[in-house]
Amino acid sequence: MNLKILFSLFASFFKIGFFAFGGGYGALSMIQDEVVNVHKWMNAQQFLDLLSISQMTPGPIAINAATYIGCRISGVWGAFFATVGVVLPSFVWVLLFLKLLNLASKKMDTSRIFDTLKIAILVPISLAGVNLSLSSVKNIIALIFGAVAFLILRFKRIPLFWLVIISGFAGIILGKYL
Amino acid sequence: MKISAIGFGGGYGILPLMREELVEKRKIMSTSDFYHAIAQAQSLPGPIAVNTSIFVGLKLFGILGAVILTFGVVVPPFFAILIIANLIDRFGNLEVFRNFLKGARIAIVVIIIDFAVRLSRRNLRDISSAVIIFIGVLLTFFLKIPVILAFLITAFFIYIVPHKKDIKSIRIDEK
Repeated sequence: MNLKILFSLFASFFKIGFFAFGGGYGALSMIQDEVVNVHKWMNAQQFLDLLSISQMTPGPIAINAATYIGCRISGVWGAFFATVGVVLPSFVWVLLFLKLLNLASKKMDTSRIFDTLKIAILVPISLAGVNLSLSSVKNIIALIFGAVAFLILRFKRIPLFWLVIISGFAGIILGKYL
Repeated sequence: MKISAIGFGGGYGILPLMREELVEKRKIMSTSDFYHAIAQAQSLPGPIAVNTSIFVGLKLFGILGAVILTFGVVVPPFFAILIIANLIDRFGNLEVFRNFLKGARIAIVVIIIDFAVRLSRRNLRDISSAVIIFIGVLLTFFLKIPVILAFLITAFFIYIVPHKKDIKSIRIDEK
């Protein structure tokens, strides 16, 4: 057990949880940056595999991802510290929010700040979209595959769980070509 | 506990189950209170399911309730992931499994892009913010700025730039 790694896992995921406006997917884009670009704990492909697994496992995807990354990097304790790290800021925010709401809601427009942050989160999310497409869509077949999946999701809104499972089976069939 | 153990497919999958358990079965909360908690949870950072359980827990049983409810949502997936990680260590090298992940990867990218599209349709209402976001994405991509920093800088610019009203209302003004 390496305390330094455990600490940096906890610190990374705390930071991610703290700024993860826009819910789980806001968090994912930050996890991607932190884990793939900053700490280089895994490459983009491994990160995507982990997201697939997190999406198929019960529970909030951001937390699953944190647990999984922690587990991969430093075993059960790694999983523990990463998970606690990503959940703890939610407590801070809720308690802070309730305090702020009582104190400041009359004096300043807190909702405008939150609205702004909800728009700005589009930067990390779009970046995650761009970076992850670049590393997973490598040829024309994968591109068509992605386009079809996107259209299905846009117009049919099937549960995300099933989209992942169905794409997985399509992957088994198309295996060599992707 | 039960809620999360069967909550496949992330935060939004869990919420209906929570509603069923708290509002319909146990009747410890009214429907409107529950939706109010979700609305607040959405405006704060962090997974929706966790934020909602903290709000609900606080409202019903105070801090301790918030901690216990959050545990209920977080603990079952925690063990599920540990077990799955273990299975993947054993069987992860199978050709079938690797191909499965190749397909699933694309689905994940599609889900993230779809999320970005939905989020911008819901929240992005004026041209100046859209331009700032676009510049932010480009600069961060090419200059490799840490995304959390980029996020905060973008938020700052969106906040200080005077907002034009809805795109539609601008058009009306021009006429």
